[in-house]
Amino acid sequence: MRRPPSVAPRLSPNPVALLAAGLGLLALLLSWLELKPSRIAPGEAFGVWGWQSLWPWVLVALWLLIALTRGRLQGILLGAALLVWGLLIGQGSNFLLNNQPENARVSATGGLWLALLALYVGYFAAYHEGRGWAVLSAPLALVALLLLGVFDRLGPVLEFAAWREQFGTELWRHLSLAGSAVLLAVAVGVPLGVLAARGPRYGWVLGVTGFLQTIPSLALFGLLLPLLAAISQGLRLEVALGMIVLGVFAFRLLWAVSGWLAVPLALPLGLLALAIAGAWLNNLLGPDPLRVVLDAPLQESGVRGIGAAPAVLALTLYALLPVVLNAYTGLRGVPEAARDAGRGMGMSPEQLFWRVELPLALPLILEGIRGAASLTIGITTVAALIGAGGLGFFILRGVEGGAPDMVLLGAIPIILLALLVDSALRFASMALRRRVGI
Amino acid sequence: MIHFENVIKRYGDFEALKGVSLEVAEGQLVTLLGPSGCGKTTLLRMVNRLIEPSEGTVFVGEQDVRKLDEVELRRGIGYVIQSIGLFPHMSVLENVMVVPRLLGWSKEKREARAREMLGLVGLEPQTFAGRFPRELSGGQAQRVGLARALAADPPVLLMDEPFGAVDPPTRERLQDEFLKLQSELRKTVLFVTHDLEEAVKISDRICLMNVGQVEQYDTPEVLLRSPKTPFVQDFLGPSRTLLRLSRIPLNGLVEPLGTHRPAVSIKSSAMARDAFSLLLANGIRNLGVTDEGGQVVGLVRLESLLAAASEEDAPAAPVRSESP
Amino acid sequence: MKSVFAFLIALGLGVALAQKGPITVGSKIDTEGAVLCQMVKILLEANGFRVNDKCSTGTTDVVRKALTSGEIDLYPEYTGTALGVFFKDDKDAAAVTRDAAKGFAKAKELDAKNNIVWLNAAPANNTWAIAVPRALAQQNNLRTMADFARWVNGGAQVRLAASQEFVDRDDALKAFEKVYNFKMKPEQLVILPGGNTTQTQQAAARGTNGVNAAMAYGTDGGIAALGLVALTDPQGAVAVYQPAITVRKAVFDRFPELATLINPVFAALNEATLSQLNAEVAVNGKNPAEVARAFLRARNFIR
Repeated sequence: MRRPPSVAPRLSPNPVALLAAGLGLLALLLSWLELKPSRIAPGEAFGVWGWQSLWPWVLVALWLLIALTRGRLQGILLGAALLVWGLLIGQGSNFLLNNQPENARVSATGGLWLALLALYVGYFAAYHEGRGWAVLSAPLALVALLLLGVFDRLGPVLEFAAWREQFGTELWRHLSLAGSAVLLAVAVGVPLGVLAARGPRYGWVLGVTGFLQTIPSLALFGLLLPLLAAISQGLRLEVALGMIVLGVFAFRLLWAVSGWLAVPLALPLGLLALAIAGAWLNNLLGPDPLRVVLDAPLQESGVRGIGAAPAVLALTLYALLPVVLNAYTGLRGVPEAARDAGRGMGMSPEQLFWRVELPLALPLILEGIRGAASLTIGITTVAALIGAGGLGFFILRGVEGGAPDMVLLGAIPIILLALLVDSALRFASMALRRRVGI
Repeated sequence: MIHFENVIKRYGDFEALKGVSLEVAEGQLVTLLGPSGCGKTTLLRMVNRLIEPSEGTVFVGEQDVRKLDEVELRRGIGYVIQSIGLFPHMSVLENVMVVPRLLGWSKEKREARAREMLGLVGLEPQTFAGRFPRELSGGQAQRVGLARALAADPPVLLMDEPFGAVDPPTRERLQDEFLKLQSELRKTVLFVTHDLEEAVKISDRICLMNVGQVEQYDTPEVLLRSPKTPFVQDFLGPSRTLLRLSRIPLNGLVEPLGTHRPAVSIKSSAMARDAFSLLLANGIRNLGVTDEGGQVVGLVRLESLLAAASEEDAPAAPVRSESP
Repeated sequence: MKSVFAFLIALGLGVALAQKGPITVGSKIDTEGAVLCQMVKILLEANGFRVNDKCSTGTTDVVRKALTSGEIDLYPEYTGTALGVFFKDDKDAAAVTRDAAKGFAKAKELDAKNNIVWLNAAPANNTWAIAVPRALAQQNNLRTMADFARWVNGGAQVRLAASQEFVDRDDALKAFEKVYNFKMKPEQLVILPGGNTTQTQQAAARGTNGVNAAMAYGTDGGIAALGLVALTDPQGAVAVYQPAITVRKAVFDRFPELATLINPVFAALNEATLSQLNAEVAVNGKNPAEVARAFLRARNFIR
C-alpha cells in the first residue's frame, strides 16, 4: 500500500485531479435541475447559467485551481467546491420555484450528479495529495450545507418530509434485515467454507451456494411463502426447537455414517433454524418487537410466511456465496509449511485450525464478509416485496407511482449505507492484513 | 534413542521405503542423505508420526511411537523444516513460544525461555522478539526456526533440510553455529539433507539412502574411505578423498619443526583439507602450523597428507571403476 | 432464561387481552392499496382493535397468497382481478366481468370456497381506460371510446402505450376494439414490459417515442396531473374493477363487526372521491396514512 515517491515536478498536475476538473467543468454545461408541475409530471430541465448567480463562475475558478494545484491545498479547494455546489443547488431551486404552484417540484438532473461525481473523483486525488486528512473537508462541507438547508426544496427531501416517520422505521428495518442476514451468513458460511476447504469431496458446497445466488428473489419468495406459512401455523415453537436440537444430534450420528444420509436431513431443519433465527435476530435488532411464545404456533413468535422470516432467509442464502468462497480461498491459501510446522510441533487439529489456519485465513474471510455486507445492503431492497419493509419500500412505491424522487429517497441511503459499510470493513480488513502480514 | 525396525511405506503400488532398519544413538547427530525421492524425508516424518509406516515399527526412547498419543509425542520432539514454517501472523517471540504454550507453561516461564532461546541461536532478544517473520532475512528466520524447535528442550530434534533455502555463506555460518550448539546440547538429531558436504561436515553418522533403502550407514570417515556399493561410490563422487581430508584434524599430522622455516602456515585447529588446499594454492610441499597465539610450532608435509588420505582405503572394499 | 420467556409470554397475553384482535392488514404495493389499507387500519384501531400493519405487503401474487395462507387477515382486492386472474378458468366468471353487481356477487360466491369473505365493494370502477393528452382530446373532440374509435378509423397517427396484459386479455383492449369497432395495428402499440399505468401515462404525457395514448385506470390519481383525460366507456366494454375488502373467513366469523365498520366507509368511496384521495398521494406526495385519516375525519367515520 506504500505510495511510490512523487518524482514529478511540482507543477505537473495530478491526472486524477485533472479528470475531476474536466468532469466538473463539463457538468456546468449540462442541466442541473428539473422543474415539474407535480412529483409525477414531466418537467423542464434548466442549466446553472440562467439563475442570475455568481456561484457558477466561482465553481469554474475552483475547478481550474484544483486542476493546477497539488498537495494539501487540494482538499480545501474541493471542500469549497462542494460548498459552492450545494449553495448553487439551493439558489437554483429557490429561483425555479419562485411563483410556481404549490405542487411544483424541482429534482436533480444529470449535471448536478455529474458535478457530484467529479467531486468524488477529486477526493481520490486529494486523498493521495493530502495524506488522507484532506478528505475531512467533505463531511464538514456537507454538514454545513445541511445546516444551511440548501437541499430542503429538492424532491427527495420533500418526499422525506412526507414520509419522515416511516423513513426512520424503514431505515432501521433495512439495517436489521441486512445485518441479521450477514450475521447468519457468516455463522453458516464460514463453517461451510471450512468444510469445502477440506477437500474436493466437499466441492458440492461451493456448487450449492453458487446455485442459490442464481434463484430470482421473486421465485424464492413465491416458494417460501406457502411453505413457511404452513410451517408457521402448523408447528409449535417448542416442537420446532426440539426438532432442531434432535436434528443436530441425528446429523452428527448420520454424518459419521454417510454424508449422503445426513445432508437431506440437515437441509430442511437448517432452513427452519435459519428462518427462526432470522426472524428473531431481525426483531432483536430492528424496530419490530421480539416475541417468543411457547406452546403456540411459530406464527405467534414472528416466524411467518411473509415478513422478516422469508426475507432474512432469502438474503442469508444470497449472502452465503462471498462468505463461503472467501473462507474457502483463505483456508486453501494457508501455506503448507505453516500447517506442517504446526502439526509437527504437536498441535491438535483443533489447535491448528484456531491458532494457525483461521488467523491466516481471517483477512480473506473479512473480505468475504465485506462483499456480503455491501451486496446484502443492496439486495435487501427485495425484502419490501414480501412485506418485510426496508428502504426497498420507497423504491418499489416510487417506481409504481412514477415518482423518481421517492425512488431516490430509498436509493440514496442504500448507496450511502453500502459505501459506509464497505469502507469500514475495508479499513478493518486492511488493518488486520497489516497485522497478519500477508 | 531412535530406532527403526524394518520400516516399509507403500503408496498404492509404489514402495517409498523398502524395509529400513536404523539405530540412532542418544546424543548423536545422524544425517539421512540421498538424492531426492530416496525416502529420507518420509523416514524422518515417521519419527513424529506425520507419516505412519505401512509395516515395521519406529521407537523413540524405548517406546513404540504408535502406542503414544501423536500430539504428546510431537510436543516432545523438536521439528525444523526447510521452508521454516514460521507462523506469519505471530511475532518472533510468539513463534518461539508455541510449543511451551501447547505444553501449558506459565506466561512468564515461556517468555523467559523464548528469550533465552533467541539468545542461544544468536538473535538479540530485544531487537528480534517483536519482529514478524516477514521482517527477517532467510538466515534469521532459520535461526528462529531452530530456537522454536529447541524451546521446550526436547531430547530429540528432527531437521528436514533446515539450511537448504539460504545462500551458501549463510549456510556455512549456520552449520558452524549449529555444530557449536550441538556440542553443548548433545541432542539426538535426525537431519535430512541432499548436500554431501553438509552431511560430512556435521554428522556423527551418515545414513546414505537410495530408492527406499539404506545403502550404507557409517561414520563419515568410514563412508568416505570405504564405499560399500557402486551407488555409494557414485554418489560420493571423485572428490570424496578431499572430503575425507575435511574430516581429519590437522593435529595428528603435525611433525616437529626441525630446521624448516616454511613460508606459509596454517592454524593447528584447521582440517587436513584446508592444509592440502593451501599447499596446492602455493605450489609448495611443506606448511607451517601455528598454535592459538600464532606461533609456528610445527610442520605438516604433503606426504603425510597423502598418506592420511589413502590410509586403510583400498583393502576395505573392492573399488570398481567410476564409469561402467 | 425461563423467567424471560415467562415475562414475554405474559407480555404477549396481556396486550392480547386488553384489545380485540390482532388483525393483520395488508395491501398491494400501489397507491390505492396503500390508501385503502391505511383507511381500514385507522378505522379498526379507532374501534378498539389491535392492528398489525402489513400494508404494501407485495405484488398481487404475494398478497393473495399471504391472505389464503393466513399470513394476513384482510386486504383490498378488485372484483375484476378476482374474476380475471384467480378464477380465470371459471366460465361463469368470464361471463360477468363487465357487470358490476353480478361480477361482485360471482367473485364473492366463488371465493367463499377458499374461505375468503368479500365485504361490500366501493361504488367505484378502477378499470382499464384509455387516456390521451388534453390538448389532443380537444383538437379531435375525443370524450368517449366511440370518439377514439372514430379517430383511429379515420387514419389518425395514434400510438398507445400499454402493458402486455392489457393487450392480451379478452376483457381489455380486445373488448374495446370489439364493442367500439376499431382495430389497433401492431405498430400503433408500444408495449412496456411489466408496465403499470403510471409509466404508460407518463409516456403519453411526455410523448416518449411518439406515444399519444395510454392505458390508464379509472381511479388513477395522476391522470389529471399529467395533463391527460381518460376517455369514458359508455357501453361498458371492459371488465369492472370494484375495490372491496377481502377477509379470511375465520377472522370474519370471530369479528363480524368488520362488515358493519368497513362497509359504510367503502360505500362513501365513489370514483371521484377515490381518484381525489389517490391524487393526494400520487400527485401531491402526501403520506397515505395522513390522507386516509383526513378522509375518515371529514366524513365523521372517526373522531
